[in-house]
Amino acid sequence: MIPALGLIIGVVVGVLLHPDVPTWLQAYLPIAIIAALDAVFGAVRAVLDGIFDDKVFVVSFLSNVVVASLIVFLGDQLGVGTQLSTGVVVVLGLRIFSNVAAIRRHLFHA
Amino acid sequence: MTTRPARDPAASMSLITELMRNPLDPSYEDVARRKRAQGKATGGSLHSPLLVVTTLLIGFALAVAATALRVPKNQAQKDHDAIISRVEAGQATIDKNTRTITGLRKEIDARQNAALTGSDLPQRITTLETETGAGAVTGPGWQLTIDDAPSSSTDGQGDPRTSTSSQGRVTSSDLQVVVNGLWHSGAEAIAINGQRLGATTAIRFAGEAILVNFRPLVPPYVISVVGPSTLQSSFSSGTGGIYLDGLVQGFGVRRSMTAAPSLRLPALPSIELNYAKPTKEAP
Repeated sequence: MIPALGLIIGVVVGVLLHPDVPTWLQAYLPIAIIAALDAVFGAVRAVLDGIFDDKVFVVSFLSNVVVASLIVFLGDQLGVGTQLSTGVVVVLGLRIFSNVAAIRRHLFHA
Repeated sequence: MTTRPARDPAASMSLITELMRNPLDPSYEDVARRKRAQGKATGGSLHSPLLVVTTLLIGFALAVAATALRVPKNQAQKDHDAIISRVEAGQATIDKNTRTITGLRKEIDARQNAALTGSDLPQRITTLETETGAGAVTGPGWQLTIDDAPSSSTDGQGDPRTSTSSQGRVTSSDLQVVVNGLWHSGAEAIAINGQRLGATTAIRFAGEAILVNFRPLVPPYVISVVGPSTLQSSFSSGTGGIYLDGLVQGFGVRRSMTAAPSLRLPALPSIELNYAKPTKEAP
């Protein structure tokens, strides 16, 4: 419950503060968000599987965000930034989908 | 002899299969196995400060990204409406000022006539205004209507650019030749679709549209001419009439002529005074 509460409070604070995103960060923020969402859904599934570990979650979240941003940065330097972003989104999207499917099986047994 | 395990027929798809089958971070499994080996219960705490801080961070980033990067859906529509309303406001101002100018011009005319009574100057001014287009003209004449050939009509979407045949379209140079022919045949005043032609009026084109007095015209082009009764016959036998005959026969341009006992042509929208010199009678 507490992590969900933390997520909601984070959203509320973000909406209320409404900070400006620096231009150099704008290309990476969406990718970082997708990577973070992947980590979150993975964590929810791990909780339902009974094998959740907070250290693994934090490390997987950080590494996801860093690696995703790195790929996009590398792509930008090579001139294929948008294509690599698409690739990252496809891979992370696939993972999110299958994790959500597993969560659904856990919750509804369907 | 040992048989090698059958090769996975979908080996080339292993990346996607791997993604779909094992989407969970394998480290969760590793940690759980290690804990089981050490005899501890699997499943970590959901209340660790690290976890709370991370979730706070994720929620914050989510909200920031959503609010900062989203393009408002109807922003373009709003901008469009704002520009349109500014255009309309500008046109209203133009109309208002044009009315003021017309009123002032009438006043000037009245005062001019009052000041010049007893001489032939008002008569000369009227004649000059007729010739230059500065004043409205009423008189007998005829109307020449020119329209694009039926085959050059726009397509179903009304987009002239997708039309394959632009052969039969009336161009600005066609109108120029016809109008010059009319002047040559003794026309006193000409207006196309209600736009009076003066000595310096240009008949131009911008894209597909023909501009007169910088206003776009839409076909059919109705050329109203005030002039002597011999105008029509001398036009038809002159260069303008022959050119127009060529357009009609060669490209299927449509043309019709009607005599009008009384035509009223408006004045030019604006007259600029470029050159003036004092008369000898000036005090």
